[in-house]
Amino acid sequence: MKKNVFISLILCVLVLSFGTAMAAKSQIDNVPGGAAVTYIQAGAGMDALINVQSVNPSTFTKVHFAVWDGESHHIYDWSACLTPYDNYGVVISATDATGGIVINDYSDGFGGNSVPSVGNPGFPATFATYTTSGIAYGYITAVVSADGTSCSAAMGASQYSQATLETEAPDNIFMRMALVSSTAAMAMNTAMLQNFANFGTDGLLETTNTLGIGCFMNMDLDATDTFSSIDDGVGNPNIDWYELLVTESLILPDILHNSGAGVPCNVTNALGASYTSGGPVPAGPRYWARFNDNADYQTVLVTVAPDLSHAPAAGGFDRYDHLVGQAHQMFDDAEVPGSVSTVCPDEVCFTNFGAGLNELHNGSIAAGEVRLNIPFPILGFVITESAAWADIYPLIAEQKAIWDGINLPVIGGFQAITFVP
Amino acid sequence: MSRRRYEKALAVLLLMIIIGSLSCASQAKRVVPSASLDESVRNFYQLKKDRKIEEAWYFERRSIASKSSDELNKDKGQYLQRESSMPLKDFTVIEIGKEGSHAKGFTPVKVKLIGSWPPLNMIMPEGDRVQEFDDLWENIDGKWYHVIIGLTGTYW
Repeated sequence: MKKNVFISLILCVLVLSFGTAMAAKSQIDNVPGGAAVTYIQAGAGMDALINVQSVNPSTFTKVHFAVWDGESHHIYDWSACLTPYDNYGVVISATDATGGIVINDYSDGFGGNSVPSVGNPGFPATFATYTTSGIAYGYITAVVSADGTSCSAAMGASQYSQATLETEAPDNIFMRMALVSSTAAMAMNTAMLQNFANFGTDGLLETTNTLGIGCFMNMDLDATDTFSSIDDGVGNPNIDWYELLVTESLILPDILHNSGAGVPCNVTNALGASYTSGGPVPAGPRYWARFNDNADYQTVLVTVAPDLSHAPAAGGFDRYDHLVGQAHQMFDDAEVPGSVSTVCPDEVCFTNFGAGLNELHNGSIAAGEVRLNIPFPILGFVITESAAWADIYPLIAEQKAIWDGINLPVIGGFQAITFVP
Repeated sequence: MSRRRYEKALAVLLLMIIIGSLSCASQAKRVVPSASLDESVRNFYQLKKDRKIEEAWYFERRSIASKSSDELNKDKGQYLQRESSMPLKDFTVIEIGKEGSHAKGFTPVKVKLIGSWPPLNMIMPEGDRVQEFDDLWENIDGKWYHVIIGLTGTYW
């Protein structure tokens, strides 16, 4: 007994002395965070507007932005300084019908905010992903990387984006996105990650810790892998796939597993719907989406799985399946089920409802709900439109995960994470 | 009938004839889609620039969709409401593309449009919104109609 208590005390001390950091403690909609991600599209007369608002009354905040196409190709990145309560915005426009885009700043520069930008906004870059109608699509991420008492101080710092040390960024910002065509426009708040901790440019190290135990993120039965980071260097953080997870216990730079030796790490999704099965094979984080598909209305399901292409490097990490081969369900408005299938292995899926290839096959159901089973952390929404109007609705997640406890290891199950509902 | 009453009745009749003539004249001048793509494109955007959105609606492919008159009127009403929030200030027809060359068989027309940003509930850019892109047109029964590309990429 005394020996067990002693070991338990040692574990507690180690946990507390190394400090703990989840990649994110939660992803609650419409709440400020330290990182944001959202979908963008431009072309065929459409622009995407991205707007970031600082909610900090006294601190100058450095935010690192990165634009990715629908296959997670890094297109462009830059940093900007937000003064207290500042607002910063960019317009993403298309230059042609084959993926060419430009990014232009439309910030106000008010009250001493010089909004210095790294790089040269305005030059064209090219998305590899675009539709037959000439709409280039991808996503943008924004991460708080530093702060200070002035813009020059903030831009020269990197407290929340280091080489090996991971520190939680303050929840200083929220982000909005608008899509504007020549005949329609809509806007929405983006997905925000609270208590976001960037893993540093050395990536995620699956090595055993000083206690000689470890867990494995990719089901390869060893705890020795390293997953490289997609950060743009120290001080310029981006959102890696493993930073979209809430972990039961994650001590940096090692992983302390809590499910017994030689078993998968106990993690769940921060971005998107969580799951409670434990381990890396989820029972199915699920979403609901409303759709209409007839001659007068069209719905498109848009889903973004940030850094998905990175995940295959994680071997058998099952979460890398996006919309491929999952057990989705579909119901009409009389709750009569229909069959549904789709194939979309990409980071960004722009999926129509219909009978064609790579469409959500809804058969004879012209309107109803689709219940999606998507293991990878995602954000998503549906756009329903006619010739005369358009509406946008975020996906409903059946459950969300929030880290709320002291990081103690347990055998099986989740202890430090609350699931809502 | 007294002479005075006769003259009054004649004046009213003449007035009605004049009003009727003017009405017929104005309807005869209404701009409609034509067999010329260049003319249709320019007329369409000129109507938008002149805020004659109801007339511009009849250049939309959607205005001749196979729907009931009630449904078409409903579509038109929503179109008028939406278009009024994004007025067009100026336009340039840059290039008429090869007929039917678009992947879906439409004809591309490169245009430059200068207008206003819509009044969304977020901070919007200052100044005009300038767009340059391939607008799409379709020839239906010998007349050219504008194709709306929706936010979902659907062609309306």
